[in-house]
Parts: sequence; structure tokens; C-alpha cells
Amino acid sequence: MEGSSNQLSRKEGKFYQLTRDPVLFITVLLILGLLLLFIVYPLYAAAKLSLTPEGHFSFKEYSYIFTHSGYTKTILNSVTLGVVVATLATFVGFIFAFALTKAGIKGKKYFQTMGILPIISPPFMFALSVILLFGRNGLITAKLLNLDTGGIYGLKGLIIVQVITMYPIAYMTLMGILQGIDPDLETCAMNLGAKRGHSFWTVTFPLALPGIFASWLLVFVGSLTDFGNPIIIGGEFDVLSVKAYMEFTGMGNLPRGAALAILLLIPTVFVFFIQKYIMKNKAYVTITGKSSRRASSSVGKVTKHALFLFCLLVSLFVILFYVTIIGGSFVKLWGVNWTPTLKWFAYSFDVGFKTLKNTVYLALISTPITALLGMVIAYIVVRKSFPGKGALDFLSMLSYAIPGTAVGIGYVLAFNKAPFKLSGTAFILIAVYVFRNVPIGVQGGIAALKQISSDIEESSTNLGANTIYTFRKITLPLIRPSFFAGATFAFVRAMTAISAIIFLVSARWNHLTVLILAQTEIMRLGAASVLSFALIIVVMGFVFLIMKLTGLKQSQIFGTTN
Amino acid sequence: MKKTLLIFMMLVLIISTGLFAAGSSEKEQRITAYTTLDEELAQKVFKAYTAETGVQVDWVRLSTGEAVARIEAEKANPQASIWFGGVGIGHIQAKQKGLTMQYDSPAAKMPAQFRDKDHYWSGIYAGALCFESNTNKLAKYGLKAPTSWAEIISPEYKGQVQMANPGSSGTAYNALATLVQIFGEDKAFDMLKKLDANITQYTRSGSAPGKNASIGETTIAIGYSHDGVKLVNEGYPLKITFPSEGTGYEVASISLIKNGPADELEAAKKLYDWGLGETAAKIYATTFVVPFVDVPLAKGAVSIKNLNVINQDDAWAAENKTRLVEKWNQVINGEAKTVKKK
Amino acid sequence: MSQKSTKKDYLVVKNVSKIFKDGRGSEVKAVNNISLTIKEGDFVTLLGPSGCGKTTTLRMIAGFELQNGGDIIHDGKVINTVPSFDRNMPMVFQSYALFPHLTIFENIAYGLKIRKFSKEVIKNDVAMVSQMVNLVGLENRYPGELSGGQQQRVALARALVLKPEIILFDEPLSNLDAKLRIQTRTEIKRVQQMLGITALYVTHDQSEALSMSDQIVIMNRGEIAQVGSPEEIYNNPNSSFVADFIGNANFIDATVSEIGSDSITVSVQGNSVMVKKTDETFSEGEEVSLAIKPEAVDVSLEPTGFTGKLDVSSFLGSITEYKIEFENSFITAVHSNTTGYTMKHFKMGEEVHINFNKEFFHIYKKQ
Repeated sequence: MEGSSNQLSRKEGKFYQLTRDPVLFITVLLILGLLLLFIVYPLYAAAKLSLTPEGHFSFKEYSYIFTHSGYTKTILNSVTLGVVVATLATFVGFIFAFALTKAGIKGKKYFQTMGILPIISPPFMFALSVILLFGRNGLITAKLLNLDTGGIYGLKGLIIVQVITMYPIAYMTLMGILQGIDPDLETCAMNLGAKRGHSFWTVTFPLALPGIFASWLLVFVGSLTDFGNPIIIGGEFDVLSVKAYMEFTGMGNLPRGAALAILLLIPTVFVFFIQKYIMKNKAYVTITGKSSRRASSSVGKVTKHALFLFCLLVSLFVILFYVTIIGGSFVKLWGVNWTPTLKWFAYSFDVGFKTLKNTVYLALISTPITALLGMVIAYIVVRKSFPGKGALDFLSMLSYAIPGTAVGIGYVLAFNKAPFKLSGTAFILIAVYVFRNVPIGVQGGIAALKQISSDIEESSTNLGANTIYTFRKITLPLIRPSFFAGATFAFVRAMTAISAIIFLVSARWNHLTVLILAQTEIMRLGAASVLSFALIIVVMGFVFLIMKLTGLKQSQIFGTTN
Repeated sequence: MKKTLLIFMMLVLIISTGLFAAGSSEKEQRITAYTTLDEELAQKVFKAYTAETGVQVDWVRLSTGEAVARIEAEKANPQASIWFGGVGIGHIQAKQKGLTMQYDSPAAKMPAQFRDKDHYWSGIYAGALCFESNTNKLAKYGLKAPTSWAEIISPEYKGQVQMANPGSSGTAYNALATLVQIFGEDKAFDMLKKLDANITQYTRSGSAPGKNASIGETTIAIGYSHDGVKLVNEGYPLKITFPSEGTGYEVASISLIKNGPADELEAAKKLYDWGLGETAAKIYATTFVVPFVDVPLAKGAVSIKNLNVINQDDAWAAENKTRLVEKWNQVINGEAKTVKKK
Repeated sequence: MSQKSTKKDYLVVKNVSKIFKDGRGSEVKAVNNISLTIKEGDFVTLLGPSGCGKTTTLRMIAGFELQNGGDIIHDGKVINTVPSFDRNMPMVFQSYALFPHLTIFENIAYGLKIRKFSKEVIKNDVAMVSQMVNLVGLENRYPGELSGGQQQRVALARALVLKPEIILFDEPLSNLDAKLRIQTRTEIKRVQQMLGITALYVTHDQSEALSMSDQIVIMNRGEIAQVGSPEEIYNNPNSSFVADFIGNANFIDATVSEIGSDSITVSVQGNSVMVKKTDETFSEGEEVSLAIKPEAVDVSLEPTGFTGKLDVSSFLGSITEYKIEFENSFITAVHSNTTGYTMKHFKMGEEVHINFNKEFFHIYKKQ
């Protein structure tokens, strides 16, 4: 009896606290409502359709998928690709991060940019580049080596492209981890007699292991949910994300498409759970006392040069791809007619200006919304306690784990009828942008808030300020870098979205990436290159602008993600 | 710092509002259209329409299969009022699914086989399936351009052919249905399996194989002759051949979408009428198709009247599409060698 | 108490310099041409304010930084190019640098494993050392589960277990609370003496240096200010810097009135005071600084010739500290409450007599 009355009063206490602060109360309700509507409801719609293909409940679609080798092969393909890419990308990312944190190679600033550059590119830009370079009419394969091969299509090409696209994910995660390892530890290991290699394998590597694992998982999910690259360069290599799209839009088999998308959801959410609940405990607190020293170079000269070379090669590769796209914009007919021309600019302007405008417009609108919402959620999750907090935290992060394909299909199904008739409007696109990207803002915000002592905000409240005022005047200014990091990412991801967007573009609101995709598919590579080029310029321009206006450094904006 | 933030936000809002305002004004009449016409052609067509009538057309290009799927997915609340272009089989499918509406257009004067007897869809042009071969590549590999279905499935063309995916592309399904109608279902699927061995990639869009052949990304493409002729005219080293056993053709059509935006209905009807008219036909003709309205043809355009085309039953093809495509998926993925026809 | 050195020169630093580039690219001379000799078995402390170069010196000796000039000679051999992992001079870090993913046992055994000792030997040695520093029972825990004091002992054990000839200490006590600090420094000294290990210890805390060292090396701005035993340094600081740094001396203005053969007479507040001559040369009439430790200054009830105005008096239990305004500056007097007038309360601003224990005056050039 004692225990239950205590429990009751605790719950009452939470509710009580909530009702005392009406602002918080309303905010929580509003946010929960939004999250349920825009994250859970579409998934529900997709799942429902996949389980009721003919109006009544049935596993028919799922059993069909699992009993037909066409589909099971696709699933196997996706997984295989994911495993290979995750491993390679984590390797590349680790080398980069290690070289820049522990080995102290030259050209640090330059390599730091290279480490994240692929992230702010159009989603399948590298696939396009690879075709221009290594396709049947590729600059390198056809012109230089005189080969006539379509060998780049399929698994090989996909691996190359996905590794280049995704190693920044591993790089950023591992940078954070490696930087967090107290340099004294490696110095100490050497002080106790460990040679450099021994010190690496017995101290650095074990401590980095949770980060390595986390990176691997992230890239694995990224590869599984990738849509743009497989569609362009996948060739005969079927993957799940494309198959779901084909079923849904191409074949018109909506239930099966939905089922495939739901299947895609399983590994991603699984990984999300592992990341969130299991990995957290494994992170080592490495800084015990006061660690003051700069790290002495824990890497021998030969290794240092080897690392430098590796990073240089990868960077040059990346640059090559960019240059190729730019080159492709000016060539009459890549692989056939090399005369320089501006005709593709004219064509793209004609066909794509309106789309570019609309894409930028919607991205710009959604960006501050995403950033602000992310900060608000982070704030109430870290600083306040209220019933349903766990659910809110979970939901706001979950949407990151949901593959774009599932989101796209879900939104099409969910928002096509009253009371939520959103399809065809700008609003549905904005909703996708906001709720797909809000987790980044939330996570950044949580990390930033945890650095700020709650004393500061308590003192503000103590002096009479309510929640909003404190948030505006005290909290927000202090988490500025995180806010702008969230905003930057929101914009970049809105501009480079494809896998969800492709289901939702309408006559009135098209998206530049869909246009680029269409041009690429019909091999109008000149136009595709120009449009990609335009996209890159817009995105980089935005990032540059943010950095200039806020005075934040690149490392602050791209420092902590996931 | 805070001021900067405020200024930045203001800028963002101003710029975006400006961009938006510059682009549209809500007062004028607009039509939302799904089109399967090639982007360039669609741009020309709708631009001309706007120039003539002042009505803005918001369009997005979808392949035939994608258009049907999209219209179906939206059927509770259709976003577009008209589907302009796209292989006739798709329009028949849409009619069968109850997605389109009747409209007896005064401009529908083409022969009966090229329009729906219940006035759901009307054809704008016909184009026949053909083989498009890159002459340079043929020379390089010592091959001749194929002149029959029997030839193109033979092992000598291994790895040299491209076709679209029948699931997503009306062009490719047209080819599939043609084979079934000529050779019967069992033999046709046998041939498709053999053809698969020669195919490097099934593209998403129907016109991609032709474009690929023109630039040498593939040697031979199965596509529509008007696309091929267009490329030849642009100077690409393509040779167009037709299968001797007979070939199929598309009847590109227009349909009004059922329950589309109410305020667009009248304008959509007018667009429909215009699409069947002479001005429009002249624009189509620039892409080497043969419109049903009698207009001067572009040089090299091949009319189906002059070809060995089969007696095509599009209604049958539409009815059996899901079944046949599913079967095709199974056969290609090796699950069933041949499946007996029901 | 200076030891007659039959002990050999164990570690010699000869004309060593270290230059760093700061954030803006300009050069900073962290260590400027220093030389010192460490005798075998001695406990030597590098003491000085932050930025004086003591830690840089330690790190160069450990091999973590390469000196720009000069030699480091270990047991007769020049070790300039020997990498840190071959120098065998285990260090106790300020942050302890315990490996968070290894147990206490594994942490301590780390160096032994590298040196390829057998499992039995490792087990025994670790057990022995654990007992020595009082860590028995904690072998299977992880560093994150231990208290600060325990972590510190693990860091020490990790070095001790290697049976080294010399251990380096980089401000190992700065993260402990005051009481623990005193306890631990006694322990460290005890272990060092018992095992006869040479210790090179870096700290900014003068009480640590005074209580633990055989030799203290005071450093300031990259240079050595004075080397000597604790008593030597405390009683005979050779510069006003040292006098100020150790013992918190009072500085009083005075004028030289007469220069004798081995003493100098100065005039302070009209009184004549004789101080011992130093190495510096002074001239008659020169303005000088007289330093005197607070414990050599007291307040007197009888006139002494020196007067000042009481500013603040602080009762600290066993002593009372008086801050007195004297000749345009403030000096501190320390009065033991077990002698004389414990209960006399002087009022702020009251004129008091000051009693200087003149033997403890040191004369320095005015800065």
C-alpha cells in the first residue's frame, strides 16, 4: 500500500508539474501530436496496406515476397551490398579520422573538408560521375583505356559509389570518438614501453571500437536505404529500395510496394535500437582527471606518410568526380562529341529553372522550422520531465531510421484523403523535410544542452523568467552552433533528398533531384551534369553563407553528428 | 549575434517569398497534368498551349506505368485533371480501373481503332516498335542489325541489347504483348527468356535504351521508331530496322482523370480538344511521330500504314498486363521456365 | 643537511632548450638552455609557477618532446634519439591516464606484458605492488569505478611494478582534495625511500616540494632560478622571485647607508639594520628591497623602533596573522598564540609596534 501511494504521488507530481507550466504542456501536446501524425501515421498507412492487399487482412504479399527468388535475391543483394559498403566505408572513414586526429598529417584543414564534402553533394552525383568516367562511353574506360565495357554497372559500381558517398558518415562519427580519447593514454602506453603499433592495437583501437561499430551500422543503414545510386548505376543488381519503388509506382502493385518498404524498415529500426540503447552503455569515459597535453605524434614517420598518401588519393578521387560533373556540363555529348558548348545550360535553364526555384524555396522554408523544432524537442527532453517524455524522445529520433522509400509510400497513402489532404501540395514536401531531418537537430541540441549546466537556466527561472523567455534569452544563444549545424544539415538534406521525394513530387512542386534523375535515366548527361552542378553550387553557397554569417567554423557545424 | 540571426531569418523569408511571388500568381487559370510525352516535347506542347490560350499548365513527366500507379494512388483525391500522352494500353488500364472519365470530344475524329469506343481516351499519334542499332558498335563487333524477333534473341547478340522494364514502361510492355500476340504465350516467354540473356539492363524509362544506343552505351535498343528516327536526324549513327514477323505499335493517348480538381475540368477539356487538333499535331510531328491529324510529316517518319504491324488487341493487353508482367518477373528471375496459359 | 655526494650522477640535462610555435606562428621559448644534475636515489622536484617550463622539461626527459638543443644523458649515455618507449622511465600522469577498457589488474600489468614476462611473474608482481599501495581487492574493477585516490594509486602501481630506476611524476596530486593530497604525498615519499628509486617530480605546490624533496629546482620563465635542498632554498632564496615564491616573503623598502666587509647596513624607517652581504653589489645610498618571512615578524607590546598601522587581523587558531601597513606597503606578521598575549585585540587602524627578527632579513636589488 505504501509503495503504490508513493507511485501515485510521483505520477501526480509529474502531471502536476506539467499543468503548472502551461507553455510546456501545450508544447508537449503539440509536438507529440505532430510526431504521431507525420511519423507514425504514414508508417501505419503503409503497413496497413501491405497487410490488407485485397481489403481483408492477409500475409499474402509478404509470403509472396519470401517465396519468390526474384524478391529474396533482391533482399540478399541489399544486405550483401550493405555489408561490403559498410565495411569499406568505415575503413576509409577511420583512416581519415585517425590521420587527422592522431597522426597529425599535413594539410589538416583541406582533408577535413574532404572528409565531409560528399555529404553535401546531390545524392547520386557520384553515380553520374562514375558513368561519365567509367561507363561504356566513359572518359577513362572508353577514351583512355579504349575498353568497351558496361562493367561499372551493377555491384562493382554501386560499391564504389556508395563507399565514396558514405565514408563521411563514418569519418564524422569516428572523429568525435577519436578526439574523445585522452591523448595521455597513448602517451602513457608508450611511456610504459609499448611501441607505436602495440599502443594502437591495445589502447586506441579498443577504445575506438564502439565508434567503429556505430559507424558500420550507420553506413549499413545508409546503403540499404539508398535509392538514387542503385537506380542509376545498379544495372541488373536489384536492391530492395528500388524494387519497392518499382512495385509501387511502376507495376502499380501498391500493397506489394508497401510491403517491400516495410521490410526495409526492419533492419533500419533494428540498427536504431542497437545504437540508441545498447551502444550508449559501451561508450568509455576516457578522461578521468585533468588531461592537459597536446598529443605527441603517436604514429611513426612511415605510417604517417602512408596515411597522408591514402587520404590524398581518396581526396583526389572525390575531386575528380566533382570536376567530371562540371566538365560534363560543358560538353556537347559526353563520350561522343567533345565540343564545348553552353547548350546544356540553356536547356537546363529552360526545363529546370522553375524546379530549382521551387526546390530552394521549400528547402528554405523547412530549414528554420526543422532547426527550431529540433532545439525545442532537445530542450524539453533534456531539461524537463513530463509523462510521455520517453515516447517523444524515441519518436523524434525514430524518423531518421525510417527509409525514405517507406516514408514516401506512407505519405502518399496517408495524406491523400480527408482530413489530411496534403498530396500535391508544397506542404507535404515540407512535412517530409522537417520530420525526416529533425532528428539531427534534436541530437545536436541534446549534445549541446548537456554541455550547459542546468544551473544557468535554473537561475534564470529563479529570477522570474518563464520557460519561453529562458529558452529564448539564455538557452538558444548558448546552443547557437548546434542550432546552425542543425539548420545546415536540414537544408542540405532537403536539397538532396530523393528516396522519399520521388513519390511525392507533383505537377506543381517538382524537386531538382527528381529532374536530375530523369535526365540521367534517358542519358541526357549534359543536362544532368548542369543541374547537379547547380545543386552543388546552391548547397555550398548556403553552407558558406551560414559559416560567414554566424562565424562558426566548419568543424563546429560538421563536428558532431550521430 | 542575435541580431545576425534575426537578419538572416528575415532574409530567408524575404528571398523565399520573393522567389515564390515571382513564379506564380494564383489568379490565372491553371491545369495540372501528368504527361508521358518526352520532356522536351512536353515543354514545347504546353508552352505552345499557354502561348495560345494564356492557361498555365503545371505538368510532371511520368512513364506510362508510373502515371497509372500515381493516378491510382491518388484516386481518392486526384491531383491532376488530365493524362497527356502515354501508351494506349496504359490508358485502357486506367479506364478499366475506373480512374478516367468519359469525354466525347468534338475534336476526336481519328479512325475508330485509335480511340476508345466509350469515349474515355483518344489517340494522338501512333508509332511502331523497332530495333535501333548503333552502326559503329555493329561494325566493331561484326554484327548486322537484327531484322526479326528470331534474330534479336539469338546468342550472337549477347550483351548487346537494351529494353525497358515492362513493369514500368509502356514501350517495353508493348513489346511483350506484341510477342505474345504473334507467337502465343508459351513461345513468347521462351523468347523473352532468351532475349534476357542478351539484355544488359532493363531501364526504367522506355526511351532510354534508344538514347543509349545512339551514344554507344549499348549496341541495340528496342524502342519506338519515331524516337529512333529523331536520333538519326540529330546525327547519331543509328540504323532502324523492323522485325519481319510483325511489330507492335503504341497509340499515344489522352484521357481526362476522373474527379480531378473541379476548377480545372473545363480548362482540361479544352486542353484535351486542343491536343487532338492541328496545331498540336504539327508539334508532335516535329518529333517524327505520325499524328492522326493529317499534317506534313517530318522527314524519315514512318507511318504504321507502311509497316508490317500486327492486329493489335490493346484491350486484351491491358486486361492481362498485371498477370503477364508478373509472369515475366518470374521467368526472368528463373522461377518458372514457362507457365502454361490459363 | 647537504648530502655529501658519493652518489653517482644518474640523469644529466645539459644546455637543453625547447621552442614551441604558438597559435599565431610566433616562437615561444618554453625552456631556455637549462642544465641540471639528478643524483641516483634522490627525490628531485621541479617547482615553479605555470608556464615556467617544468612540465616541458619533464616531457623532454621522458621522450615525449624532442629538445631543440642540448643533451639528455641517462646513466652516462646520451639518449637524445632514444624513443620514449625505450627509455624505461615510467611516468605518473596528472590525469592518471588509466586505460578505461582494462581492469585494474590489466592496467598494472600492461608494461610487464610488453616486456614479455611470464604469467606467473606478472601475477606475483602485480599482487605485490597492489599490496604496497593498498589496492588489494580491486584488481577486477575498472578505472571508472574507482575513487580519485584509488585511481592515483593505480597510476603509481603501474609505474612501480616495472621496478624502474627512475619514476617521473607530472603533478600527480593536483586532482585530489587537500587531506588526500597530504596523505598521498607521504605515501609516495615513503615508497620512494623504501625502494631507493630516483624520482623526478613536477609541481607548482611549494608545500609538496618542501616536504618531499631532497633537491628542489625552482624554475621561472624557462630558466632555472635556484637549485638546492628545501632548507637552503627556504632560508636563503637567491632572488626576490624565489623569496616570493617560497615562503611568501614580505618586501620592505630600505636605503643602503654603509657597505662593510661582510655586512651591509641599511636604513629602514630611520633605524639601522645590518644584513649579510650577498653576491650582488650595492652602492651607498641605493634603494633596495629587504625580504623577511612572515614568521620572522611579530607585533610587540613594547616599542621596538618600528611602527606600523594595523590593517586586518585574522585569528587562525594556532596563529594570528596581522596585516600591517608599513612604509607604504603591506607586510604580514605571524604570531603564535601560545606565546604572550593571545587575547589582545588590536583595532583596525591602531598603531602597533613591529618586531623584526633581524637575522632573517635578506637584501635584494630593487626590481
